[in-house]
Amino acid sequence: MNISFIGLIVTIIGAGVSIWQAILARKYTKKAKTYRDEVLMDRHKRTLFDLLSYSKLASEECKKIVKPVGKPMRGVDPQQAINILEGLYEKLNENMHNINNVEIQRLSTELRGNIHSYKQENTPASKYICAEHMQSNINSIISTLAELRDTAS
Amino acid sequence: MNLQEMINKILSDPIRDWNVIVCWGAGSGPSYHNKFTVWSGGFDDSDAQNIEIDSHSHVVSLKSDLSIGMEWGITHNDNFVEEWANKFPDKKATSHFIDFFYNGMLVHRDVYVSVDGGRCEIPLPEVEYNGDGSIKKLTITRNEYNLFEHINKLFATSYFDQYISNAGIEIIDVKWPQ
Repeated sequence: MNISFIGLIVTIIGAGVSIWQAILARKYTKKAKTYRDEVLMDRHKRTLFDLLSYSKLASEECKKIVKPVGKPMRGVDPQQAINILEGLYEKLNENMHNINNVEIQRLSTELRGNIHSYKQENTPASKYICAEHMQSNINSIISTLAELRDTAS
Repeated sequence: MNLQEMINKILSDPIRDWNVIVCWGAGSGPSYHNKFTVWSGGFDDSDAQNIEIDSHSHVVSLKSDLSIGMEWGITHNDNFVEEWANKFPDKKATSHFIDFFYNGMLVHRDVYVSVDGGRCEIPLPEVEYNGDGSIKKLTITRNEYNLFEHINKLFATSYFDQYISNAGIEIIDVKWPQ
């Protein structure tokens, strides 16, 4: 009978330890989920900042190939500008799952179309028109990314 | 005073007559001539506005005639790509505006190129092309050469001649500004 009593006490203590460990495990799981969400949010913000930065660079390059007011701008390599714009499109595409925004997707597709048109056009006048469309695209992308960044902050 | 007389005055006055104010770097003040770029757009036609500001980095007035001023530095092209400008050890070249003022009024604007990573400032040369699109000749006027020789001696390099020669630029005796 004494042995049974001791066994009962040990069992109760064991059950208590198990319950305590289960409570601790639940607590740490919640913490881990919180940390995971924080990491995901930080990655999301970083992606937006990187894309914003690259978009601004693309905007500056695009300004060089739009219609000049006077003489054509010297020292401009249109292919370099196009390479940067294509780079922007690729970056947006790579990070679309992270951005998860329909407007950005639409603008990105539009940008791709305008880049393609620019490459196809033969006359300076029509190239300028394409470049202006691309610039408008990029400005909208920048503003939309900025809104997303401000919402995420 | 007409434009040519003003340029001649700048070129004939010795460098010690130049009142030079540097407007970039820590502790410097503004040049009060700025280039603003404003653009807007966003979700749902919102009124988001963005402003970018660029300024002249150097201001010069003549001590003998304060009506005459020169300023330069505002960026024209932050990545200038032409073969003659990218052939130096540091291939990075940028172009900037140089402005001439009379009684505070902008009277002439030109462009110069900062080559070899900013080690020399060269006036933007006129280009003549061959039939196949290759460059036949690069030229600057004698007045441009003289002006930028002064500017480089003050702020950049004393090897201006060497840079002009290495770039393959010829100096011609043609009126400037036209």
